[in-house]
Amino acid sequence: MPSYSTDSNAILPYLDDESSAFSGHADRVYFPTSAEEVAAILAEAASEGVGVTVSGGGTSITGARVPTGGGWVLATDRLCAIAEPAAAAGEQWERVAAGDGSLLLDAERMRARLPAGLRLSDLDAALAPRGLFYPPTLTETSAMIGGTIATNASGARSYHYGPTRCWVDGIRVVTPRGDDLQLRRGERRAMNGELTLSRGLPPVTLPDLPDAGRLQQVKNAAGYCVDPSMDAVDLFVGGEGTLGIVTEAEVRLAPRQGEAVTLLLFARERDRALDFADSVRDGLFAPWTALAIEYFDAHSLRFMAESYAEVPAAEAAVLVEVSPAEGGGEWYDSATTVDAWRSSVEAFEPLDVWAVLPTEREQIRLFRHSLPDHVNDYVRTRRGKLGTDFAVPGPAFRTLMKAYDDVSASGIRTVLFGHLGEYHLHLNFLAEDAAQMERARELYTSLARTAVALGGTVSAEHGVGKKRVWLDGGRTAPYLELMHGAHGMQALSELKSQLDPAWILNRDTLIPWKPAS
Amino acid sequence: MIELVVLLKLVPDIRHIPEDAWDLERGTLRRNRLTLIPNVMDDRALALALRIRDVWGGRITALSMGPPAAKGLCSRALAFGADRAVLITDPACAGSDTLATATVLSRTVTHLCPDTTQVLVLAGMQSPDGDTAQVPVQVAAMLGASVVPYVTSSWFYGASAEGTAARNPAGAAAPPGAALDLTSISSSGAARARLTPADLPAVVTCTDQLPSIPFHTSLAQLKRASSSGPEIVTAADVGLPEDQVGLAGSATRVVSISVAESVRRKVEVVDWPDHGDHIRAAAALVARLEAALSGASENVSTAAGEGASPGGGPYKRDEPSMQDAPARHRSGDDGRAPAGDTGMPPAAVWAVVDADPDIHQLAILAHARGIADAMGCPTVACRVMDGRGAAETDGGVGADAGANPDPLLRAALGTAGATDLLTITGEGAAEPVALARALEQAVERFAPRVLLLPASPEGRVSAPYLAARLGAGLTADCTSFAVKEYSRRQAGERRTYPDALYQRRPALGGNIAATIVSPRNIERGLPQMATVRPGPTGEHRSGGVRAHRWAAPVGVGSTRAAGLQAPGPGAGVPGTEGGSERRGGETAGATEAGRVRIERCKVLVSVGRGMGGQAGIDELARPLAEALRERFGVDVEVSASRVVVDAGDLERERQVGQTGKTVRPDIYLALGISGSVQHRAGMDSSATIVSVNADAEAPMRMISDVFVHGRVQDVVPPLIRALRE
Repeated sequence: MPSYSTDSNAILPYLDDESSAFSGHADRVYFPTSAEEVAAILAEAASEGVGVTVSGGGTSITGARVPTGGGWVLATDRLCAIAEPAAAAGEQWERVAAGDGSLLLDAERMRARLPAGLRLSDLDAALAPRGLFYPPTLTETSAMIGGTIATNASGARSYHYGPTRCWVDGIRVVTPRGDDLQLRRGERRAMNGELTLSRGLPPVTLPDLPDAGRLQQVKNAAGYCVDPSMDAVDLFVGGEGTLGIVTEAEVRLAPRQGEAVTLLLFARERDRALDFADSVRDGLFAPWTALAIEYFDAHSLRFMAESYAEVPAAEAAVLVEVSPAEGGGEWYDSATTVDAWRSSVEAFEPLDVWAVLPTEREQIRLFRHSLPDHVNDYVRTRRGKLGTDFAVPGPAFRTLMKAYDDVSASGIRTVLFGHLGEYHLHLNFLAEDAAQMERARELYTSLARTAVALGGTVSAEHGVGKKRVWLDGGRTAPYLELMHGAHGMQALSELKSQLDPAWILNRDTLIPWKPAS
Repeated sequence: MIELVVLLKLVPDIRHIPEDAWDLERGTLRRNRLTLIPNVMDDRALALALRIRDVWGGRITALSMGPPAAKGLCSRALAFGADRAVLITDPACAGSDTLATATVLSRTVTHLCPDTTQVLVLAGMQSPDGDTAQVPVQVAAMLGASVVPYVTSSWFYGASAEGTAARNPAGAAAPPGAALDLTSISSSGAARARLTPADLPAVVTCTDQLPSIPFHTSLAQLKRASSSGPEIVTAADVGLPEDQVGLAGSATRVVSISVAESVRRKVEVVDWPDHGDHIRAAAALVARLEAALSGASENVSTAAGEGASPGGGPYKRDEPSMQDAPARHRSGDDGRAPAGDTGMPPAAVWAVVDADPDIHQLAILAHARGIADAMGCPTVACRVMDGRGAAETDGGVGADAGANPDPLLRAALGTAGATDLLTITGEGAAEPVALARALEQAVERFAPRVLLLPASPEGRVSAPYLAARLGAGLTADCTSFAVKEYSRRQAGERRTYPDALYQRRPALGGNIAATIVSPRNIERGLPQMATVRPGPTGEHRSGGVRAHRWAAPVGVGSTRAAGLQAPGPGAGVPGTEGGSERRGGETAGATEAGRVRIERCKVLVSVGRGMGGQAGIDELARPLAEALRERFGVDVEVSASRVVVDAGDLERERQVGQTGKTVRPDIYLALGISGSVQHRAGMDSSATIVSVNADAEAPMRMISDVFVHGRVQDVVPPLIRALRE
């Protein structure tokens, strides 16, 4: 049986997350080192009827890893060794030291097999000398691979590269029933609403969620990815650890790109900024590729001007990272291209356009970081901050922006910024006092309903975790209920019960746990 | 038209050296694993050039020598406003040392701007790979230009309507041709210089304390930069034959490079308890400090030998250790020159010391003596004094009459290892370039075999200036030496250099150690030259030091290069340009009487970003220094990293690091200092390093003997209590 600790000092680091908005308690913390040990822990928990909360790097802000209901914590910190796979034809796995353990790299095929406890920073350090990188790399580089898969995390350049799901080709997952499954993308797909995870196991009946197909068009991190023809791997990517524990993964890699030029367009009117972003999506910078399209509203810019006096008083700004196509030259070899950019950008009559060279990447990072820094400073002496994470399909985006405008008439100070490329902005309410916070919560729920009505998601990247949504009269409801309704929640609950009959894993994450009386 | 030439270099990113860049088996660095980035100090030079162009007018030329990849660096300078860019890229230039590099750069400058009286060269003070700071100074020597090194702030003065000097606010328009006042780093804290277009040619080197270029430019500039690009030239294009550039034109050779294991210490990590057991932890720490202090005093005698040559046998294998070395060249018992010796010994090892050296600066003599004993020649302490109107046309050599220097000084020099003392007087020789010119004549007159200068702000100007004048190789910032035979194959023949000086120095921000020889110096009868980092002093039985005095021929002080006028008293206290704070710089040097000498202290309480500013210094650091002083009865002072001084929380003279002071206390107590390479360079030879840091990954950890993982605010108060018990 794997060892565990009951020492409160050992448990303490696992009782909250980056949000500091949740607190938990636990009797034990386990540090398994292999899939077999993970299976043994789950078997023990099932026999004792104890809940197990899985914890990765702790960078979430949804409370997903916080054991709010007590029980045991299963920390993936020591899942850092990777088993030698049976060599298949054409594969060339090289063992590379990474973090406290190792990974397997097939540089030729640009693939890696990674243990769940590997931190993104350690992965990047191992890949950098080989000219490779893992595209869905987050800004929070202390996150662990297992956690990023469980949450289908999005990286800073997910506009171009997509979320984690796009890069995971295979997983090893231990289910609460004790099955140790090896799933490869393309090998097992759902048919007739049923998904067989392994020969010999009864098929999983998938819930029939009317929104499932539509949500494929939106950046989404809210709940299970279920649709009638889904791949088995996708059931666990973004499952927030409620259906099984990913212990290893095979991911695709990409050639390292360092030479992106960043352009920051300061617009006279907000609509010009949005028009500019539409043009960028349509290939304004071709043959260069846009890796990220980010948005800052006038309020955000005012905050940033506190550190950078040269920031113009624009209505909005759009930041675009452009990178030469693979094998393309450097910016200074591209006079014609640069000239073409200049004239196309002029068409949007900007107040100013900043060009930031690849050598200045650290400075632009600091510049962008100044916004959350100032916002956090601002709310420190006030009631607090409430941030949205909605995304909608492109055609509905300006309607949502209109809804954001209406909210800013409420008198509560807001900042609006984020991932415009994916129609995914964060509206942050900066509440002065309890009354404003109360009002902000009402507005939040109403905006969430608008986003869903527009075919969008209530969480594009943060995930759901243990978050709840505020209803009238001080009541709250599970966050996902906004999207799926009570019926949908029941269907999700049935899916969970099929894989985790005793509801051992991550109770109260995604779906509330109702203990059998 | 004023020609502003900005020197740019593509340098390895030493803050992010990937683990696999080290070939641990061969002990070398795979340079192709390093990312190349612009030198941040060069960016300051470009920013200053842009500001000067606004006031003086003229044209900015960005000039770089490097691989074709440096084209991006040149284009970047164009994108930030340079008028033209020139890249010297030539396989023949590969392997150039600082002298060969300066030769190519200065020749290119005169090729591009034939009227050098219009030329102002601006460069970063140094590059993080070599850290030698030699190239810009050598370019100045070759151009016959004045040097304003290590500039920390700049501002323009102009005449107001009333005709009185008035400072121009940052960014405001100054009258065309207004004088540029510059503050720079010196041993005493700060030096000032005033530069006008009439003072050209001049070379200004910039520290990273100056404001940099903005991080963004415009698409129009990007377009301009990408359509013009740099002009590519070769050595031949500027009229340099192949034997003057590259390896052939270099006076020095790198013998070996090794991973600097020695900088990493075996660290004892103390996780400061969150609650409760502070008292016991503090008591344990006090005991550790006590042991470090008593250990340091016991080890004094061996420290000299070890410190002088960490790499193995000191100097020559068959040589006894320095302490016991018979003073083969010991002078007569009474301190006078022995009978028959009418003057200075030729072919000696010279160590330049301050005009008024104090014993803490005599470490350089320990190295000189070790080398001299290995070579079998005398050790000359050489001081250069500002003196005018020397009577003798030949300079005049003779045994000193005795009134000056005083016997105490001679005794101290003798104990430190000197057998002779040469006092050179030269006009204006208090200033580094004039000192170099006086030394140049003395070198020609007495032909020393080895010439060591301190790696002080001044020595790091005088030495490269002199080396460039002599055409000699120079190795900067040496930490140890050995004397051995060196041989190499040249033009099919094997050449052997019997008493070659193997000079070991840190490079790449202390990550590697390089061993370098200067065969050309030997071939041409020039002294083998090095600047020396402060280290342990030696202790020698000395029967006395022979004193000599020599006046450099008149005219040294009158060269153009002898320096620029300092602003007059009417100039007032300088403000700064560009909005960065510099309160510490203003006070530095102003408190001459009460000068703080952190380099003399046994214990330093050094504070960094994690100290919590002025309040933390007053409430924690100063009381801790006081408690240490009371408990151990030794000199304790508060010192600081650069951020603290830049923020104005402490005086500039308390700054430790590459742009501050180099210290070597028995205990260096680093509070909340993350430990940048620049900071480490100023303190990594401290006997015991104790760091307190909340960040377990702070780079300071790898050079610490004791690393206390905890917040300064949690650690210091119980520590003070424990010290007072």
